[in-house]
Amino acid sequence: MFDLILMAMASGLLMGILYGLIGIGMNIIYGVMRVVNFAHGEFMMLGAYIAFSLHRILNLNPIESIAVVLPLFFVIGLLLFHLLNPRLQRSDDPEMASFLTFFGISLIITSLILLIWKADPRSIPLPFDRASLLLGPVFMPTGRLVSGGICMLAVLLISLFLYRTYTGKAIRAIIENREAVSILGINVQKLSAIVFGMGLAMVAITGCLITLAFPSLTPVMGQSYTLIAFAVIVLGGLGTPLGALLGGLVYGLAESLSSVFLPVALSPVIAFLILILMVLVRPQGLLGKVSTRV
Amino acid sequence: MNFLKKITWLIAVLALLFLLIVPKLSVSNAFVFYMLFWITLASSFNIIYGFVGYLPFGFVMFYGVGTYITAILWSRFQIPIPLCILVSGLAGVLLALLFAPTLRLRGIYFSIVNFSCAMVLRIVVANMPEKWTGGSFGITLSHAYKPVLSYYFMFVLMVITVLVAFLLLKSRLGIALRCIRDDEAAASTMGIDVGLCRLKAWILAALFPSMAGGIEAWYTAIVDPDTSFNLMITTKAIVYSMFGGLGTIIGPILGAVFMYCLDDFIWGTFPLLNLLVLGIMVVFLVLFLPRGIVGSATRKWPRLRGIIR
Repeated sequence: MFDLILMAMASGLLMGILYGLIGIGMNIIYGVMRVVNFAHGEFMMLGAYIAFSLHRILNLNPIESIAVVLPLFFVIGLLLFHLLNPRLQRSDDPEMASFLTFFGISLIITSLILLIWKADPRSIPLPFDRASLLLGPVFMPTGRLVSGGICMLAVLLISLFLYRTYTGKAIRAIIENREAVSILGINVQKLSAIVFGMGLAMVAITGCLITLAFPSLTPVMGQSYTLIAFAVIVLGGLGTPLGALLGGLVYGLAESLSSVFLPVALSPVIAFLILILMVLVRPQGLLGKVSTRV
Repeated sequence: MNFLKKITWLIAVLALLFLLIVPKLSVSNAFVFYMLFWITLASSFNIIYGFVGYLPFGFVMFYGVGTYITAILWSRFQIPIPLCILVSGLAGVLLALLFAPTLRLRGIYFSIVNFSCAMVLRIVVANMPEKWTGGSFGITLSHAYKPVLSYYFMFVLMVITVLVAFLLLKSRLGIALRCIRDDEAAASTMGIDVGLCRLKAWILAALFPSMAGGIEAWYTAIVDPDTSFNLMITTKAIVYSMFGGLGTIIGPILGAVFMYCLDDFIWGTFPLLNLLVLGIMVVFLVLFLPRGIVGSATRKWPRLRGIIR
């Protein structure tokens, strides 16, 4: 039993890093644009399916396909931002309008995936010799170890970018106080576009890596990942970029531990209950401060 | 002006008379049944989103619970169907009261938490003991199947829903709700009990879809978790009422009629494209027609406001 719990915790933490990366992408988009990207999970599925096709056509493994998927989604993000943002900003209630727009986009992506890749579950064969490794007392699936490792690396690079570079600091400044930043002469629109592209690129990388951690892809999975991402950023604090990593780890642990003690089908319920309670009791998140701005 | 108003009423009366004799005209009345169903759903969605400004993404849960309550009560306890439908409505109200604390949240927080609540309900229903909910296969009610009678039930429910929405718009409560939607702080300063008003609207918005769910379960004679808690129900309620015009009475009706016809056509001709078209419609409506056809018309010709709203 103890081994089982240890194993659940280890794999929960590894999945947690993945959730964290999805959450960071959603969180910086929210922080800069004040928009919850309801299509986040769908963009992730799109990334995963493109990785699948790259494997079929060019025989790339999911890790190599990141090199293609990352720039592709960055560009998609830039284009989409410039296409949608001007109109959304002019609407009566930009927050709700953007939310509904992204909901529409999520439907469009799901239907495109259904049209292009059909509804059958798809999978990419693992590019490793051994499916699992013995680490101390527990067996860990190789796919989860590798994907967790790469995600950790990505999180590190993003933190360096956000905390050590000039652009990154400007992005954090926008999250802190949008009005003040535009007085300082920072081009908010341009940076928002970059952040949107980055957010989509991050979630698309996670899409490639998730094919290593969860072997089977279906078109309708996106929605639950959007909700997971939202739960993660609510846990970590909306607008606190790295809080999402903590949120992801907590969420991953809760999910995998509850699957030890409860029927597997019920484990999403625990996750949603965490989200609902968190929003009702501590909406500023585990790390977040109470916002003083209105 | 008065003349135009009379014409509008005449059209409404003729439409109602037509709807009354539909079952006599053709063998299958499914098309019109679902049109009435969607008018009911779009109108009740309008009560909470159009009048109050709260977007419940888990709106489907009221419908879903309605279908299950009727199915369970009829198949396990042999309770007469009309009573089942009433209990369905009651269950919807109870559910609304259960989730009333979430009304404290605002904007997208409310929407997403509401969505999560619907997901939890769906998983719980699908995993309940099979002797209750029939698991993932659901429940069949084939012995209760009475398409003509259930059509009339739907007709009556639709008329009541639209009537309630109409009275609500004219009433003190309706005015209070619109005040809250536009400026909550000001409304509260004027002595409006914001929480109570919102709760009343929330209960109304839950009551009708739950009863519609009960009637629909009776009409199709089958209930299963995937259909009963399908996000498409919420999506269509949003699209239909937005297309017509939120915050008006006639908007959701027109929206439901137009969009349902379009949807039905697309579904019949290109079944795979249905989801794609719905998605494009949502984006298009938000970006180019946020007030819907009625809202845009009354803005362009303010004189119409006395006639259609």
